[in-house]
Amino acid sequence: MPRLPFLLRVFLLLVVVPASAFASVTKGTLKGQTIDVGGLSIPGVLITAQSESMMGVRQMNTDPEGRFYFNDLPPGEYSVSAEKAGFAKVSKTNVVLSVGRVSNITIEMPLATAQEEIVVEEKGPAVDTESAQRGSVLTKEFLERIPAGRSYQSAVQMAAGVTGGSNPNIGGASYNENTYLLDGVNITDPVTGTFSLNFNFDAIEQIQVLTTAFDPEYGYNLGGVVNVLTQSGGNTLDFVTGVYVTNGNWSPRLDARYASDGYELAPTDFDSRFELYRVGMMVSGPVVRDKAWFLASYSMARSLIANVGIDLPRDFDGHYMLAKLTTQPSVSHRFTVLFQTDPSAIDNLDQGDRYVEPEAQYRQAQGGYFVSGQWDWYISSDMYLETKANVQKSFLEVTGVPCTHNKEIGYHPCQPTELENSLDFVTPGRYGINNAFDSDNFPYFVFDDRWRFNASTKFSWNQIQMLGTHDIKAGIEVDRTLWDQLSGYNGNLLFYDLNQLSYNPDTLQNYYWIEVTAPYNFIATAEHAGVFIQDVYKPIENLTFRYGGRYDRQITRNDQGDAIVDAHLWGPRVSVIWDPWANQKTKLQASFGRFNDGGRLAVASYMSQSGLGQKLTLGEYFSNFTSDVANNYFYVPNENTNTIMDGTIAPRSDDFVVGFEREVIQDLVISTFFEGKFTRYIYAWDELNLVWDEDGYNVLGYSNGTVENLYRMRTPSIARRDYYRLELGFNKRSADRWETFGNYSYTFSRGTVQNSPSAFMQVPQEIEHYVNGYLPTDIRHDVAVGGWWDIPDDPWTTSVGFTLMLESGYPLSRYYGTAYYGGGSLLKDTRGSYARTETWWNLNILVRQDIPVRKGALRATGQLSNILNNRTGEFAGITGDNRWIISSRLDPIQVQLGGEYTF
Amino acid sequence: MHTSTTYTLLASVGLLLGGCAYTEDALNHFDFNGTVRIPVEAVQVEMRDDDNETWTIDDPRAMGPIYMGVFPSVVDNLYDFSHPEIGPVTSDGQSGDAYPLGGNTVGRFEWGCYQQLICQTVTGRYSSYDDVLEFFRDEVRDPILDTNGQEVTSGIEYQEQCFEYKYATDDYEIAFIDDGQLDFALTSDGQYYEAETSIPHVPFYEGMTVWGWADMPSEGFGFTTCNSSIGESVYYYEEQYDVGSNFSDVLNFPGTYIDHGDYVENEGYVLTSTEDEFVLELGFRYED
Repeated sequence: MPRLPFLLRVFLLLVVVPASAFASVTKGTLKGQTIDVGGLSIPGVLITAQSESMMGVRQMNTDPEGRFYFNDLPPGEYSVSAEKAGFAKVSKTNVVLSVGRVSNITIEMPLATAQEEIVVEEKGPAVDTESAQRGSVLTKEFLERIPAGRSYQSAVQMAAGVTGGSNPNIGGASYNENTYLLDGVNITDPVTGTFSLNFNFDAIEQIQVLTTAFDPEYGYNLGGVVNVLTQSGGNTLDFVTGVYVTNGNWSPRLDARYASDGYELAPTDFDSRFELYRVGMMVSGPVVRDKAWFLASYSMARSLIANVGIDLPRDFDGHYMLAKLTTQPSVSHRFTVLFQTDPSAIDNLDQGDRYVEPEAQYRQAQGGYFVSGQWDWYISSDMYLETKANVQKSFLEVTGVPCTHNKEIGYHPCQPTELENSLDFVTPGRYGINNAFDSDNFPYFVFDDRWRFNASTKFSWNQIQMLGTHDIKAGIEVDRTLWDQLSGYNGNLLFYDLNQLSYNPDTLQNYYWIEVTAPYNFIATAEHAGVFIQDVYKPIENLTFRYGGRYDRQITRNDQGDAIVDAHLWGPRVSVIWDPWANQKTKLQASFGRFNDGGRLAVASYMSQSGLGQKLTLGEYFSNFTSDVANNYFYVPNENTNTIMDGTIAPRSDDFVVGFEREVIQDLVISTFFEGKFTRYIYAWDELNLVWDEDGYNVLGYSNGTVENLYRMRTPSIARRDYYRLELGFNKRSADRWETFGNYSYTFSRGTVQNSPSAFMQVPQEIEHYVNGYLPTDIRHDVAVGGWWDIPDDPWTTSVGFTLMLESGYPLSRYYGTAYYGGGSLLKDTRGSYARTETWWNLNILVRQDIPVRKGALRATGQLSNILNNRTGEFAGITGDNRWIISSRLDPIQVQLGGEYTF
Repeated sequence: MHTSTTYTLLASVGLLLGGCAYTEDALNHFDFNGTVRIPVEAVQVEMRDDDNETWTIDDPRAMGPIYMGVFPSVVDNLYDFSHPEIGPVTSDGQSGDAYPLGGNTVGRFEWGCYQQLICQTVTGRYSSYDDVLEFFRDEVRDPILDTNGQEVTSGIEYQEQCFEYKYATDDYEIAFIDDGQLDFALTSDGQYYEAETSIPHVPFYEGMTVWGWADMPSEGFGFTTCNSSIGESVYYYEEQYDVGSNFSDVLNFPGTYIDHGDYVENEGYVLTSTEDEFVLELGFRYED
């Protein structure tokens, strides 16, 4: 490739980059040096890199120091050859390149002999002595062989520093403070801060989980980064289809059943249900060999899951489609277009109340689409420009389900004139006693649309010589998100039934009702722009400085266009990595980074100024008692009285990391890291109008003189988390047909807000202990161990994989207020008590059998999940005067059987 | 090449320095620390039983909650005691509102695990279960009875009752038992009971005034600021009742809650800066 004039390079760095835009890492770097048998460098060697994951080849000549450098290669397994007259041709095969990693190899070239080519199998160094980021890269090879649950959300649990469920907590942050990327593009839900897309697990090439110490191009968030890279196809036609059935119904679930008055619960009261059916297929191959590849993937998932004591299962149907077209018209340019959609529906959504009548259930339709375009421009051997643009829409609709043709789930059957799932906006919804919905339609509806428009460009310029070498990257990203939600009540009325047994729907005699003025519509928007610049400076070969910073500007507006968040955010990052013996077997590092959170659209919506107005009307029933109340009502205007505190500061974390890694024997690396992370100014709310007693337990008065509750949003410095983690780990990378890993984290965290809030904002405990606050004093031990072994049994191959995870926490957290089950009146934990969880072990085993057949292979898999089955949870409720508490197994043992055919 | 690299490095250093130079904005909310004093004679409470027999309790455990508020000002022409300035009267027969800017308590009503003790026990007053039993038996002369009408004589039995009714597993979770330091301590000169306290998160206006009073028990050991029909609900087999809590507007209408025997701050402590540490001396005994 041509070398560009110096002025053009400067122009690209200073002008082109800011004018377009950056994105996050989706590639890796392959570098190295050619030497002769005496250890002297060989300049002018033609280096050729090729891989099944890359179209064509990349070539360059080594510099006067014998060095070569291929930046921004797609992850995969590479073959690197070196050729020069007078020397034997040397090829290194199986060089593994992972996303975001540097693979540094040395090629020793003997003088030419009769042997034409020397082939050496080398995976590259096991320790990346140039990068500082902590986390894991889960490869396709790995994910296929271990029981990962066939979802990227569960697969990331194996990385050290990751806890929680499918919405994980990473690096001590809340579950809604992570960034999710698909092929380097931000797909984080702009409202909730959680993942927002689903697709076929088989389409995943690698999953990169970053927990801390990452470069400035990442990290506009307080938590971790989950970067999912999809496959791109190849020069051969491949077809994979599979069926997976998972069942947890037979698993023992009962632990205890009791009620305060000795009420004996029937077995069905504590039963639960878990069934999952998945079908998937993927086809990929060349459109034009080495010029255009395609990939198309579809999978369907249906699950029937019922909570303990609930009769009707939640019925989920999801359809996930992903298509990708990659073209490379010339060696310098590559274009990729990706389309994804995942329409899904959940019936029987309410699993919280066992007394919900079937016909009063509701349905949630959800999904969306994602379209992305990417242009990779390999400007020269040392310059690269990546430009992306994408649009994402996700939707969520919650409506009543007036009828169904699905007899299995027991809704009232559709009449000849009735359309299944047709929406009933006319008949008012009705609540019976205990808030049970007993009408023939669910009372409210929600139509929720979320958009993200994103464009980014990243420019990298490598191997700049100045007192050592520099790899410089810079980029800019612009992002606009929008949240448009319409909600309201069917018929604009909500009836309450005072006496469910004797109501008269014709006269409405035993009802009172709330009239809602109109459907409520709000729109929240956010504009974000970020720039970063970073340098990887190596003054000497075994010492690396990674430094730089990012600046983010975010404005988040509520429904009135008021700027709720208007933030200038600086995020400096610096790391020092030292390879003391310069042999790529040892790494010592120290890192510091500041991470910022510009907030989600949910923050702006909390400050929306409009809301549902409502008017209470009392029915005739009340006239039996007084003569004049029948037509009385109160009216609540449709205003949101929440307020924002001046001087809000965007939340931020200061993160310090020191660590050590060492390859102790061939392919086996041990590591230890310590992290201290200090988060301040977390988004919080408190009740502005209320004056509390010394324990935050009872209200003493109202500042504005009325009982009305006014909520205030702010980001006080006392809303904070301190997080410390010590990590010990080992990793024996894939070689000799087996691979294993393990990590242990001891975590201590202490904060003044809830650590895993169910809401987007949190409650500082010193103000509002009472509502639902508990202090997250969290001391945990987390262990994740896994591995696989391919047992050759020619022509068949049997593979056995396992994962074992442990989570503990004594105490998990301490309540500063009295906690109730589900916000109800059944006491759960009193003030000052510690929330305790049982130590939870999770053991999963996967056995896979590959059977060669004509033009392909059959694969049978059997997976046993959650074998130890000791994770318990409590469910509670009140039935009349009966209090009941059920302790049950949260994750039953599941059996998964699967079959695949690969062409 | 060297020039551009230098620019790049300078830009990076600039970013780093920019990050380090980031400053914080202060919120206009402050915590005010202070001291509450109540004269030793305040804990001498006259008691009278159903037979009209009278006696005197002289015990700091008799103190009800101390209510403190920060108000725009305090005046002395509204009641027979000093009182926060109030807003206009908007309803007949109702006092004007005092509009507290903030407030706190020293001690609060916390149910004592037996129905008989609704609105009777206050946090920060008792060091053990036996302490509570002894106080109600010997000082209040109203021994604590269990659900069978039998006197509770054992602290262990009392503890079991609390653990059962409050789902507690540790004494630390029983808020009205404090085996550490109680709220009030006798001053070295023996003249006052004194407690350290604070009023958190108050917007500051120069001249605003800290004021408060001690809700002292009536002759039948009742407290006017406690409402026995609110608070958490107890559902235990056939038992069903609320455990009581303070009225939620005691700082809005303090004058309506102060009654005979309560001790009131004389003038109020005027705050002139955010660094002020207030002293409340509840030296005025209100005689109805």
